[in-house]
Amino acid sequence: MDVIDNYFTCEFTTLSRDGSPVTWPVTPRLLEDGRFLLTTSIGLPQKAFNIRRNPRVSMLFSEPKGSGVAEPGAVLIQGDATAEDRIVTDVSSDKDLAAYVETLIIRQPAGALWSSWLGKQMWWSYYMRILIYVTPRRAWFWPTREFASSPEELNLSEVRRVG
Amino acid sequence: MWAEAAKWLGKFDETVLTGLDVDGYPVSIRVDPRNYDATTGTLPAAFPSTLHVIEGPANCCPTLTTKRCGT
Repeated sequence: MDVIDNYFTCEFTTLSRDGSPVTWPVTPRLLEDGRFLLTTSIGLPQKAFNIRRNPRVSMLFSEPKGSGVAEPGAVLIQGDATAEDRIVTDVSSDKDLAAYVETLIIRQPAGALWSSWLGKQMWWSYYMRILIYVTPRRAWFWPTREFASSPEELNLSEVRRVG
Repeated sequence: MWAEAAKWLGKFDETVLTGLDVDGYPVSIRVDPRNYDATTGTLPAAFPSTLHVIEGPANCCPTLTTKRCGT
C-alpha cells in the first residue's frame, strides 16, 4: 500500500447536481480508523456542495511522480463522503488536520507563499477550511498502471491497516 | 469546440477519465489523451469489466504534474 501512503495526490471525484462526475487533484490523508481526510477552502466549496447532495465519491491514486515508489501501481477507492458544517480556521485544533497540513507542507513546499503575511492577506479564504471525510466502500488495485487490465479488489481491512 | 478541447488535451501526457458504475459511484482510470478524436469529440477508452461502468455522463481531467493540489 505504498501507493496510498506515498503518492502526493489523488484524483478526487464528486457528483454534480445533474449527476455528472467532477474531478479535482487533491492531497488526502488516510486516518487510523480507515477513513480519508481532505479539506476544501470556503472559497472553493463545490466539493462540499456536491457531497451534501450525493455522498458517493472516488479517489484514484495514480500519479507516482515524486513518490519514490519503485514499482508504481494505482489504487481506486470508492466511498461515501461527509462535508462538515463547521469551518475550521485553526489547523492545530484537530490532530488529524494538523498532521494533514504537515503532509501538505512537506509535499508542496512552494505553498509556503500562502503562509506568508502577504499570502494570508490576499488569500484569507484559503485558511478557512471545510473538512471532508471519506469512508471507503470498495478498493481496487492495479499492480501496474495498465488501466485496461482488470484491477484486484482489495479487502478494506488492508486499506485500514495502512492508516 | 472539440478542436479546442483537442488542443488542450494535447498538452498533457495523460488524462483521468471518470464514469459511473452500476451503484452510482464514480470510477476513474487514466487514458492516453492523444486518442481523442477532435472531429467527433470522443475519447475511446476501455474500462475493465470488473468495474461495472455503465453508459452515462463522464468527465476528463488532464494531468501532467503534481504541482496543483489540495485546493
